[in-house]
Parts: sequence; C-alpha cells; structure tokens
Amino acid sequence: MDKMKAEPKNVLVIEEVQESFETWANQAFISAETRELVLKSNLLLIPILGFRELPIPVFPVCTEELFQFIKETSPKEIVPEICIEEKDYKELALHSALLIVGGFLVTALVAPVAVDLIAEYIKRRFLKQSENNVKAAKEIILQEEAEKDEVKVELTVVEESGKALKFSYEGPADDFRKNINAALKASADKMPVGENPRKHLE
Amino acid sequence: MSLKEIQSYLRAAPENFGKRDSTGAVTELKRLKAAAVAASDQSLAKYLWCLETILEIQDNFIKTFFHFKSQEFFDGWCLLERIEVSLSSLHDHFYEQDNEFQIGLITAHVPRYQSLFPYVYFASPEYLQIEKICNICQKPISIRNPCGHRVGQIYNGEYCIRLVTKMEYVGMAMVKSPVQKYSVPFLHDPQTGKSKDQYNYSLVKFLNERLQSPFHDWTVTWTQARHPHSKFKFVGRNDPCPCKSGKKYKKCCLQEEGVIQPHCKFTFSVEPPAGLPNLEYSY
Repeated sequence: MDKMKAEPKNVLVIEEVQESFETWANQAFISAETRELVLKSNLLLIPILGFRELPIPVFPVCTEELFQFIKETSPKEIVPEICIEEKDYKELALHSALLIVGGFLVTALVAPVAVDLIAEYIKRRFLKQSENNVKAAKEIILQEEAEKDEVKVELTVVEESGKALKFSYEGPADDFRKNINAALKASADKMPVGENPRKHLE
Repeated sequence: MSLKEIQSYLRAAPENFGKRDSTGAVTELKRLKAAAVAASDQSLAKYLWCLETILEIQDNFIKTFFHFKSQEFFDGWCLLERIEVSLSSLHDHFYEQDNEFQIGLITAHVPRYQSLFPYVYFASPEYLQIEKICNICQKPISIRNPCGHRVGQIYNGEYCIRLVTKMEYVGMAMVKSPVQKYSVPFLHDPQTGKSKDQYNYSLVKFLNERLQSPFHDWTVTWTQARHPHSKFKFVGRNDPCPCKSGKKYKKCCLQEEGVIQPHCKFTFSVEPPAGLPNLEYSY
C-alpha cells in the first residue's frame, strides 16, 4: 500500500476539434519564419494555452528533452516541429508525479508512428533502473507491487478531409500505447477507404 | 586511500556503518576523478562518479537509520527522498552484482520505509521555468539549437542536469502524488510561533526499535486484523463502526471478537532484541 499514490485514472477521451496545422501556424505568437516550419511539419508539439490565466503559451517541463528525442529517433517520414519562437519557449513545472508529456498535433498518416515515438519516450523516462538492477531489486522486493507511473498525453490527429480528432489520455504509462492504438484503429475503421491511411498500408 | 581501499570501504558498509567517516573517501574520489578527466579517461571518470554516488547513498541511508533511532522522523523522510533521487541517477549507469555495495537492498528498502509514513497530502508548487542552463557547458537551453549534452548522461564525471536560473511562481496545489516529497504540511503552533509535527510515526518507530542495522533486511505486509473492543471504548453502540463499513457498531464488528482494522506485519531477517512486544496498537 502506498499512501502517496492517488487512485489511477486510466481515462481516454476522444472528441472532434477544430484544429489544424494552419490554426496553430496562424497563432499570434508565431513569426512568419516559424509559420513555414509549422506548416511543413507532420508532428507538431503544441503549447498549453491559458493555464491558470497565464498570458503566454507554455510547455510541460522536459519538453526540451522530448523534442530532442523525437528529432533524433524519428523515422524519415516524420517532420517534427515545435509551435513556439525560440525566445518565447518556457516550461511549466507542476511538480506532481503525473508525467504530463504534452500536446501533439499529427497527420493521420504518421499517427501510428507518432504514438510509437511517444510511447518509447515514456518508457525511457520511466526506465530509471537498468534491467539488471530491476532484476536485482526484485529479488529483494519479492512480491511487492511496483509503483505504477502515470502519464497525460493529448494527441490530435488531423485527417486528410480536415476533420480532427483529439485523444486525451490520462492513466498508467504502460497502457498508453495499447489504449491509444486501439482508439486510433477504431476511428480509422470508421473512415471511408480513400481517407483511411491504414487501408493504404494494408 | 587508494581506489581499492575505497571499494573495500563501500563493500564493508554493513560492518562499518556505526563508526563511519567518509571524508577521506570523498576527497580521494574527487582527486581521482579530476585526474581521470585530465587524462581524458571518460570511462574511469564515469565509474568514479558511480562510486561517489554510491558513497553518498550509503551515507544518507545510514544517517536515515540514525534519524529514525533518534525519532527525527521528518529529517529521515527528507533523506529518503535524496536517496531516491541519487538511486534514480545511478541505476542507468551502474550494474551491481550480488548486492556488492548494498544498492539493491537500499533500492528495495527506501519505498518500504516511505510506505510506513503517515503523510498523505503534500504541497506542490507550480513554477514557470523562464531560463535554464546546462550544468556541463553552462550554455542557456535552446529548443532549436541544443548544446548536445543530454540530461541523465555523465560527462567528465558529472551527471548532466538543467539548472533553472530564472523562474516565476505560478501557484500551489495540494497533491497526493508529489514529485518533491519533502513538502509535508505541518500545523502551526500559535504559542511557540513554530511548526508542530502532528503526525503519528508509530510504524516507523516500531520498526526501528527492532532493527539493529540499516543493512538488515526486513519486509512489510499490509493486511487486516481484528483489534480488541477495549481499544474502542469511546465508540457508542449506535455510533458508526470504527471499521468504516458504514454500519452501526452494534450491527457490525461489535458482534465479532474485535474491530477490523488495517494491520501492518513486519518480517525481520535478524531476530529483534529480546523483550520488545510482538504486537503494538498505534492508538
């Protein structure tokens, strides 16, 4: 029993939103130069707007590491970008054990790869112990249940038709990939064949 | 102290914990690391950083044990958090064989100790980090032009982190799952003008009275047991049952041999000192 852990949430909310790469590229805090970068991208890290009435866009703490990770590990079909000017980049530290990974805007075509990238980042963030050390610790811990890490991710998928679906996940880190992929597949199965990127791949 | 002597000193923590002075080891590790960096031996510098971290973890773990012996529970709690942070840094860079330096044991015991504390809510400050620098190259953090040093890696025998050089306070929240566990709220005593520790540390106290060494293994199991009705004389027959079932006491546990309560069971690898009771009630 760990008194410091709140009840795990494990919530996935899916909603249709009016968002696109254009809406983010046209934000007042984006310069013409950055606008071009945003429009060329297909995986965009988007800021939090209006948190506690803050007048500026902010990113969750460690976004810098996340962005570098995505840039270094993305396959070539991914064009990552971050929706902010260099001088305006600021991180918000909430100091809760819940890992707020951030908000992402992706095209439907790269959404499955984006989920894999985010899931891999989450795995590395929580991989605080090497496999060998975990094994050594487990020999002593025996059957004690490992603490479940939790994450919050908002992934907005923009389809070719312009329709955008926002997947807001808050729950165990281990379940992120499985839950989001299942939801992505379910939404893709409802699409007409011509608009379904998965159907192209089959 | 030579490197071999430092390694022996670290291996002997279960024997030397009561008469330990790490000053010489700290100084020598620093000197050896500076020499390794000067010789561009990154591998040795990294290994020496690991030994420095192990030394710090062991020292803090031993101090925690003695804080608990002295009933300085909050001080011990804060040190547990520092150990947790150090372990988190160490685990990515160091593989320990056969609990050589007691890191496996400490890794297992820190969360066990933490689970015995009565703290539930923590203050969680929210900050806007406006400027940060890399501790390795001192360069400001740039989102599009990174310095190349990765957080969590070791460079020149130093662990890479980001240092916040300018920040703004945004707000405060009370949370159950804090990142910083030291933000424990205490009551204010108007008579002394100081904070007052209102928490019940009976579990930590019970454990540490029976532990003779920080390096003796112990486990804890949470279960339920019926506690005698004599402990609940202040509860009326028609009052809600102390087991929190929602029923009246007379229609619930009063019909049984005792009141169902959370029960904490310890198992010790080394027999506790004779004369101490095997069972205690925390009220």
